[in-house]
Amino acid sequence: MAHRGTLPAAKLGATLLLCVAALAVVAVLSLRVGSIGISNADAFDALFHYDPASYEQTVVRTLRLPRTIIGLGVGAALAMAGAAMQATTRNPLAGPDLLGVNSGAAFGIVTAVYYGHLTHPLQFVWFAFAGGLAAAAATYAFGSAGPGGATPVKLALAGVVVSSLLSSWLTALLLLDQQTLEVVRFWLAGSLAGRDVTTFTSVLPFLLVGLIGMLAMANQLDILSMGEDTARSLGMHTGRVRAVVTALVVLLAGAAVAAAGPIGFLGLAVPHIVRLFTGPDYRWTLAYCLVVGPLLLLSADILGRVVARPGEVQVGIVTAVLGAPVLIALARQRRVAEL
Amino acid sequence: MGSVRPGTTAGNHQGLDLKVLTRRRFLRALASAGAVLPLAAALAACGGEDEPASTTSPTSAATASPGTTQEAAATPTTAGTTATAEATGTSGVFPVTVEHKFGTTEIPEEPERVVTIGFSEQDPVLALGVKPVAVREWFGNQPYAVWPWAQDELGDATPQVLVMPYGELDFETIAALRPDVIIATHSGVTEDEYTRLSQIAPTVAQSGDYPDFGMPWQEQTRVIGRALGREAVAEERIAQVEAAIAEAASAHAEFAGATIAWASPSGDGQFWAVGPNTPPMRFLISLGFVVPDDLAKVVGDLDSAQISKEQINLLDTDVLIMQTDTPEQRSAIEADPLYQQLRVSREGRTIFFERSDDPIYGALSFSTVLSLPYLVERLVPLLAAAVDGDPSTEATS
Repeated sequence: MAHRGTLPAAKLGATLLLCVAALAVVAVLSLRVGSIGISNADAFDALFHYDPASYEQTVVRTLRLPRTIIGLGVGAALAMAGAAMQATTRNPLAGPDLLGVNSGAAFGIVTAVYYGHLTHPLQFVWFAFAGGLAAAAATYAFGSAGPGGATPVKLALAGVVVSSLLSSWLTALLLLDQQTLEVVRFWLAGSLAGRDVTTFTSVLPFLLVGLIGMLAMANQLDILSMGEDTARSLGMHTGRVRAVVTALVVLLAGAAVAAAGPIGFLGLAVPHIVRLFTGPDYRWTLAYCLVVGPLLLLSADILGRVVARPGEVQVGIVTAVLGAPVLIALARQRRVAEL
Repeated sequence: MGSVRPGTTAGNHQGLDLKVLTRRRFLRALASAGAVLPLAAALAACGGEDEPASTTSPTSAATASPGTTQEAAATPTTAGTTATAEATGTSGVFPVTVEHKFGTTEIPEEPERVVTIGFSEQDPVLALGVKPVAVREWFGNQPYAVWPWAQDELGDATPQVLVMPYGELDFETIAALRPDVIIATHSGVTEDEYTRLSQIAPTVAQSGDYPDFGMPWQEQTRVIGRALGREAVAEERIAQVEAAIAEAASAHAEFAGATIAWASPSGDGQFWAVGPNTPPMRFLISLGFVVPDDLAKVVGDLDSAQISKEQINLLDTDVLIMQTDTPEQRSAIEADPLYQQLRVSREGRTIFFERSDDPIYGALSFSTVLSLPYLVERLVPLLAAAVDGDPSTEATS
């Protein structure tokens, strides 16, 4: 497999630091930039000398700070989950929702709202998580059935089946009940705004386990991405490794969707962008995803705040709008086939 | 090795092509569902939307040209009966011609079977003493889609309720009703829909002088009165209601010049603010209120526009009407630290509607010749309690 355009390790390290710096800048911008103008002084004070009577400081502290924090976590989770998904399934167009996590989470929430009469997004988080896990488990079960176990092709197919099934049930429930639609409609588009930060902190433990676990599996992912035969011949128990990685992906994707709703394209596009620098080396790829994921997600969120003033465009829509051309560009490159 | 196949995108379960219309906006459903919509759609969706008060068509509909003049093919009434002259003075009036956005419609004789396919026209039709054979459901699940203020006029009539999502007219059912006239002044029909409807029966569409859902209630009542051959009754009812409104306005001099806004939370922390070019806001303006300049500029001619929570101070008016779907949503807003900084919060200037079947909220959304007197009776005291700036006078519905 050709390592085209890969930077040498030293340069990779330096570029990574550059990306970390860029992420810091974007995070600060996420506090400074938004629907209304905020001065540097106000942004600083909001963090360190908070005056609850100041409108601008309240905006920063109660609106922008939670968004930034959630964006950091969700961006990292989605990007890493996407990279891992692409490695295990050897499918360059795999995303974290290949296993149906997003559909499962949405279905879990809608069911809970419809039957349990929940009304507030704060109540959704565990149903989202549970729904996502259940859908991923179902996908894995279907994909493993039959000879050969959970091959990438079967997993992908099973994921499509489960996602489609859940989507149609979801739509049916929403058509049946106007009230449910009202409650969940905006959750379904994926947004960093209007999300309670306590939702995020509830799933943070799972997120951290997923992130740390995935980084620890970087070596295995590297070997796995070389192909089934190569990995086996190097002594790896591919089935076991895949199972563990998939579980970590589900943790990451489930936590992300529970915290911010379904945000598309990020998990799919970021690993590809990152691999332009790192090549197929998954240790560097995961490290970069950890940084570039939140970098792009927060950038999309900031963009959504300013393009449609005084309204905002939800980040799930921005990533879809920007992600589609990226995906098309990627699909047109021959390089895509090389993982 | 590595089969390349498109993975499922997040767009799958978001592909909710739901055109269900409540008092909410059809395009908001599209916006949240359109994860793969092009940027134009996303921006248009955020640029301006339907309002909590009335449904609106996509912003592009406002640019529709008045259309060429056309003679709507008049469907002969099946029974062939012509109404005899009554106290309503319908003899000798027909045939009448009414003008609208898509040209003119001729109604050859007094209609017996009236179908209203818009969202609030059952009110003016009932006000003129005519009982429609079918009405369209907007929201609220009221019996026969007739709210309390119009139940007297409905009497024991039992019109069929048409449940049609916005943009999906059920032409077969409408045709099966054998209407003599179709009233569509508050329906946002497109030219295509109008053409199909006028093949079923003479159709009275919205005026071309206003945005699709912005036709003033007086003009709607007038043109419907003309179409039904009861212009004198229409003028009488209009004059009565206008007098009641003027009386309320003069009894409450504190309304004059006070700023007012009507908003509802949009689920992702943002708010929909209703624009001045809509029947409900026109009613409030006729009581003496004004829509603040910065808000009016944001919404413009659209029915409503979305504002970010960061700009909630745009809603810091002398009176704020906040419409939520559930009491929990209301509590969430009241507990919000940013909302608590606003003067409307500190001085108790907010009127909350907590449920979508609240009749006062319904009456304000409708703002028709029948609902306005109800509003004058029920809403004006709330407005007075809100505008006085005294938090102890409760302005709750």
